[in-house]
Amino acid sequence: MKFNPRLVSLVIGWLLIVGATTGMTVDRSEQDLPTYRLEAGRVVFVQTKHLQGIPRPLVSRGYVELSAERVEWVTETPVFNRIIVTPQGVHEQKSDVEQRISGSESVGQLMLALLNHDYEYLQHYFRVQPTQQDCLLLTPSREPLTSFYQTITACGNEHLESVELQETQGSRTSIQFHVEQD
Amino acid sequence: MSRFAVRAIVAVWILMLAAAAWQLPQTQWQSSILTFLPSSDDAQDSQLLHRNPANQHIRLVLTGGDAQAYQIFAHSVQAQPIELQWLNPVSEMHILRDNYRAFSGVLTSDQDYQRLVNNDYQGLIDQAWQQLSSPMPTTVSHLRTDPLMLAEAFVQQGEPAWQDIHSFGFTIQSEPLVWLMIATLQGDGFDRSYAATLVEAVATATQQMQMHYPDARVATSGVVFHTAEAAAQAEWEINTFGVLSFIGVVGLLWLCFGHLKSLALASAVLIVALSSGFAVVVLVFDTVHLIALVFATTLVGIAVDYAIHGMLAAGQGTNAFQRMLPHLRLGVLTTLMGYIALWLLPFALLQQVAVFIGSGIVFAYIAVHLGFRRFMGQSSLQVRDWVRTAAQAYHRRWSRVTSQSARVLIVVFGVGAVGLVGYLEFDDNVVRLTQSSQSLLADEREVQERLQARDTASYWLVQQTLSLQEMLQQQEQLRQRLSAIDAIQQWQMLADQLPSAIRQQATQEALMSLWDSTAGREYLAELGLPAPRQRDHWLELADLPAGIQQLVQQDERGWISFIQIQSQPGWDIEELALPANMQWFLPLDDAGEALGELRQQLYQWLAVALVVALLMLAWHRGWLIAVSGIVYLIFVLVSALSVSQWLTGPLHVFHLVAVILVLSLAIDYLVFFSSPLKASSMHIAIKLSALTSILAFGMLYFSSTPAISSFGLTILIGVSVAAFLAPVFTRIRSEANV
Repeated sequence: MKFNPRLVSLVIGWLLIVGATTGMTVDRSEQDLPTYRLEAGRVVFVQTKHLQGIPRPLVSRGYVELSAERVEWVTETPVFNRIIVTPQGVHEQKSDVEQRISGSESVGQLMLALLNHDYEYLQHYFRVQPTQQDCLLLTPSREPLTSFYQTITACGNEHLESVELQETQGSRTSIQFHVEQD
Repeated sequence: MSRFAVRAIVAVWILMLAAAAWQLPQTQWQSSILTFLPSSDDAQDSQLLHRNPANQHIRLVLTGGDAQAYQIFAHSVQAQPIELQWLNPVSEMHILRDNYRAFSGVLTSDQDYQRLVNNDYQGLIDQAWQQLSSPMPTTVSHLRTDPLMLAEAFVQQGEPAWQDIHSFGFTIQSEPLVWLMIATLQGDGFDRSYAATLVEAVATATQQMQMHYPDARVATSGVVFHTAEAAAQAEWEINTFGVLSFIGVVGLLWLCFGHLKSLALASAVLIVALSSGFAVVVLVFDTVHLIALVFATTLVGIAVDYAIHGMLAAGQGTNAFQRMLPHLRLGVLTTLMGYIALWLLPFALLQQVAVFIGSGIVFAYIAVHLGFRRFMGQSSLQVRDWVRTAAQAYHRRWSRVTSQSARVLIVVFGVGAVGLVGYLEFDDNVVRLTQSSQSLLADEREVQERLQARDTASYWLVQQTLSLQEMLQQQEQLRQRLSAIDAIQQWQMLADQLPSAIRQQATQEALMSLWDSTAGREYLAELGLPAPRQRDHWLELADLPAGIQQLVQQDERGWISFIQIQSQPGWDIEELALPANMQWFLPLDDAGEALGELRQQLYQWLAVALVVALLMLAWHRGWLIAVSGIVYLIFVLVSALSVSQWLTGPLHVFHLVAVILVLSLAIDYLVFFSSPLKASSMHIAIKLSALTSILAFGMLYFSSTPAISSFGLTILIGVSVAAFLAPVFTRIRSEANV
């Protein structure tokens, strides 16, 4: 089964974003990890990428739509992009067609395991430690994640509010989340 | 023969043994029956078989333990001094990524390449913006050399699976923990000693792990494990069958002769025959097959015949011995004929059997001819009285058969043979010839299931080209055709990791056109990037990790590569059109076809052997004996095959090989019973010969290798029928003499 490492990071992003609607709380103790709870709803995000080699930051906006067995990541600006995760894998919308990304079944399963409170997964892939107030530092402990990320910082209070992805190649991505009010 | 000539022959024999002893350390020992299957181009196919990546890898699946348990195993097995290259996915991934990063800007997926050459610039730019807007990291693209991040899709298209990796291998399941370790053989997977060392290393590491974690276990997969098992089994069978045959024969001789001298003489003939056969095989063949030696243990049964004929005749004095010699020579010649037929067949395994037994019986004859002269007329070479009495009684019983009854019996043989021929059924499936143990097969199944490859059909294509670049271009074309076939699930080829230089160059030229376009200039301006600089060197084979470089091999004829294709079960491979220098690598199917051809050749050889026997018998014994003898021989062969089929199912080529040997032994009996030698002495000699042959060949029936077992069974039946019916020629002989 082929596995695209880029999808792993996507999963991590989603994993953290899920907290935005689930009332993620950050504990100081590694033994008492915060619980993520998936609830249906829409989370708006603003993403700022500082890419190695590009002098100016790239800002994109969109939303994440969550349901029990389906996650949608939709970028609205500067270009429209839609990605869907199901237990069968990750699908990318290209033109009007949804294309399943080859070998992404395990990513879909990993995603769902995470959304179903399977904390062994998180502990399996990361060293988790609290940092400053309301933030959690996730340091990848296993390949292939260690090849892509130095650290992932998730911050929030009642809900997850921001995520910062520090890549090994020097790029940095910050994502701010806001729960959309009806 | 002068004393000088005798000494010269002995000197040559000793020299031959010495040369073989010198050659022995250089001899390679193999045990997989597949490596010796017949083919039109044996050497080339054998080379391909050895080069096939499926035969060069081992896979170990570790279950029932935790990471600490598996690490104990991994450290232990990797520390063993074996010629193996263990896959370290972490370092392989880093090498691959670093090199892809260095060459980003000339690496594209097939889909992106098509958009590039079709000038779909805006489509590619939109796609790049989508990637730049996603939270995913860039894995290999360097934005200054690859602003469109085309290398990302290239990586997704062709990079090996890196899921959950560590420096020892892959974690294929986390709860409960299951590891996969992969290694590439640096030695010959079909070589007995290499395979045995490897299996011992895995066993030692497993023991060390189980000392601390008794529930942890290792499932193995790879041809080398089957080689080791087959070799150990063959060695056991050679020793066991050889010793049991020897004991059986010696016991029988003691029972019949009751003198140490006769035992010593028979043993001396056997030792000369076995050592000569072994020496000639070692001198003639660089690689010796252990299964050939299992077959060759039957030499005991044949060589002792000559000793028995020699001792019985020598016991009666010089004249009797001299009278016996021409008939023994005729017997040697007819037996030799059968083995020469085997030697001429394009089947290395049978050639080795033929050389071993053929040279063994020649030396056995020489030993009898030269060695028994000193023992003429000695009573110690006479059989015990009860044997003589029994033989005379048996002879009297046959004497009561009238010549008319004998003729009727021959007609019955003829009718019986014709009736039974229609019953014979053959199956050339090569899988029926060999059988691995249940535990090894269970391990293979477990590994397949763990890797979820059970419901997938796997095929290999072998590609041979003069240059590496030609190979890569051809693979790029093949990949397009594979993408268009729904039933194809995935494939593994070098071009997935290494685009051809022409493709890299064309990608760069097309990208330069893109950067010159308005859309390209605007995109670069938005990012604040200058246009990438032109590159003048390309990603090469040497830049890739060792594991990927092994997908291709170079020899004096050019480049050879194996392409693995996995499809839904039942896919028709004919759907894929192949260029001339690419062909399906289907060793089992090819071997089945080759066995079918071999079977046809064996039919022809049997026909030729029967015609030659007819002519020789007509010359020495007259046409009546010759014609009735041929009917008798055909009946013996057909009945041996029929009973074998009745007992074990459809016949295969080894049943036919067995009847060639039955033919040579049956001619032997025919020659002696139709000779003017004393009938009761012949009964003793032939019955003892038949019993020793039955002991030697019948032992093979208990072999765990189906090919050997059916070979032994067929000879057991054939020799029994032949020996039981042969005395009829004492009656036909009488009639012919009248």
